[in-house]
Amino acid sequence: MTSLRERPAAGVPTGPPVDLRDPHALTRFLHGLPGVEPAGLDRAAALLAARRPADRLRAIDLAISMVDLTTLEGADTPGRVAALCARARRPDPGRADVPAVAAVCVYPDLAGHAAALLRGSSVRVAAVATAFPSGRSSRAVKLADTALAVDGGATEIDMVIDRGAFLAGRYADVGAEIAAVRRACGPAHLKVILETAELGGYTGVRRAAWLALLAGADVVKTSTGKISPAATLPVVHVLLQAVRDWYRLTGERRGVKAAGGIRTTAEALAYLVAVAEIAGPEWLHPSLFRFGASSLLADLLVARREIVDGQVPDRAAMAG
Amino acid sequence: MSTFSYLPEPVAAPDRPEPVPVSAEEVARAVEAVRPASPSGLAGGPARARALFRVADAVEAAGERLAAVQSRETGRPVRISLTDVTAVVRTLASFAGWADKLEYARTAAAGSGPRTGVVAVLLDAHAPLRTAVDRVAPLLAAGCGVVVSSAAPLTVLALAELAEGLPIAVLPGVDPETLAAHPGIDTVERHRPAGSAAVLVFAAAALDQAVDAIVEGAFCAAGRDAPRLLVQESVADELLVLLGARLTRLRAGDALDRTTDLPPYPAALRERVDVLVREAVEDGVRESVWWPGQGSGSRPTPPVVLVGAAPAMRVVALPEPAPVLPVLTFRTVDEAVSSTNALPGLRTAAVWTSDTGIADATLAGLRAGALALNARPDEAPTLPRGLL
Repeated sequence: MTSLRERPAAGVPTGPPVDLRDPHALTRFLHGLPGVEPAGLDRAAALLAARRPADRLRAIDLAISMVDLTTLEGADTPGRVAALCARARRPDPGRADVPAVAAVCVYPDLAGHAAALLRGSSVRVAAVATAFPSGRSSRAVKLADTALAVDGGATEIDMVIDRGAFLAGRYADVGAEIAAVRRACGPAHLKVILETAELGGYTGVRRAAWLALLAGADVVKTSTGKISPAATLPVVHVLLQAVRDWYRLTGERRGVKAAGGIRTTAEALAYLVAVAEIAGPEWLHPSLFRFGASSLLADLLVARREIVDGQVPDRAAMAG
Repeated sequence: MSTFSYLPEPVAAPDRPEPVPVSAEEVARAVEAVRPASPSGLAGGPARARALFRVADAVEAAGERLAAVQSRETGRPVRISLTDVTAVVRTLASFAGWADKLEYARTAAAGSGPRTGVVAVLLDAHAPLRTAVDRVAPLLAAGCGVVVSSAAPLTVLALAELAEGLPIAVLPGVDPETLAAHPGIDTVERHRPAGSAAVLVFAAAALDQAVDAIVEGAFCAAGRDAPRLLVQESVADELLVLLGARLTRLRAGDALDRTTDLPPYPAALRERVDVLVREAVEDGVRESVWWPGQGSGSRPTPPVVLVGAAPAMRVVALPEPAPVLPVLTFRTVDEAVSSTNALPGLRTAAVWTSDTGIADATLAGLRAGALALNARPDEAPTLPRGLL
């Protein structure tokens, strides 16, 4: 009798299941993926959202270490980025035991500035590139945008896919562009933003996630944060299922980033439960799961102080 | 990682209070108290409709409490009890709608004799909210009086308290056979024998959601019917990997905790599962026996999945309500349909496929009490609930 735990995963790891350069094979593969039953997915997500991690403090610290502290405003200034970097290194200046966040996420022109400020810390510099947030520009412009960020010192690139091409069914074009940006990234990690709200449903999200994984994405990411709804639990379930299935198929662990719309500690912890339950506890690491957020960190810190101090802290006093 | 540990722990079944025996006079009083005034059952239709609608509202308003009572009494996880309440409210409202229309539903064959009387309803402890309402609501709508004996009397009593103005009596301590034999009882409704609840998964299906539905239906919200899984061969490996992973995530615990997935399994049921597994292995379950705590103990503990089962095995051919899920495979639509129809007492069949041609052919061929496509069968409000 083979036991449940000894049973080998379906399919021995064989590498990518399809040649990205063959448009017909790629379309057949993506359209042949198991579909998603929306009502069932929504129910499963709601069910898991009722669960809470047993060790709340540890889960909050984990969530803090997974935050990509983000500022993506036209009005961003070097001063503002400096403040962000300081906050990223020491999220709660009064508490030395609070972990640093995972990364600071900025526009490409500010990557160099952020890299200089974060040198010597564990905090990575992420830059949005490839004509963020619309992704509507020429390949050359997108690659130049990526190069600007990487040359500035970004070690993570958040690119957006061409949703128009994806929705038109030009999967090979989308895949080729992701692969080209992947090459331009060099050693930098590539996060591919799918903008899940624009993909026409969960089945579209699953196809886009697989396309990005096939093209070399290190991380699949929900949203730019510029379009609503951004990250939702069911959509993140689909992405987690994709990286879980990718691992079974290839033996490689790829990551997921939930970006936009996550503001409270309760929401963040619900995402962590989903990560553990859907992808597996191995994914509970900043290299494999991230939160893209600007206001979440403050709420996590308040919740942390509540646990450590046993009382509700004064938010206004913490804001500085 | 300990922070996220959800491995099931054995949970003891709750203690049930010993019911106080009921005297013969009390039975007689209860039977006469609910005897309908009108033998035809037609006269009071509108009043019964209003009363049943009021009960539906009252049950909805008291939903949390009713769910807690049922979970405490039977160990059914409270999140499942809450969905039971939703289903029960729909059923009550549906039969309330029928109560004043029966005159028009009468057929020539029904004749003109008396159509009402006192019915003894004998229920076991499986999902008492649902089974009680499924049995009792049509009788009340038709104008019958009802005397209930239930193995889960607290839940049924809590429900009956809300049925103000309707002829229903609950006798917690009564011996079911004594009640059935009472001369004032016109008809006896017993809980029906266990049947089969099949799930069919075809290659082109939303596998993640199918697995959730399989586990939910077979183990978390288990009813009287024995779960059976039929999988198309080409997708069996992939589905079983997902199913195995899902099993290890099931959470046992306090029935009143909303995150609990599994009911507690009494010692007698665990022993019965032992026997079923042993028989299945004797009968040649080909591949393996899976259970969530595997690795920590050598003895299979429920819930159990039996991979590589076949129709002739006792565990498939003799349905009984137990948390044991045999998995059979098939190759074609025809084979899927004939294997499923051959299951004894087929109550429900859920088909999982995103191929509309396969869905049409399969659903047209299946002979089950209730069918569903890409969903659990008991989720639709209009199904004949007495079958579930």
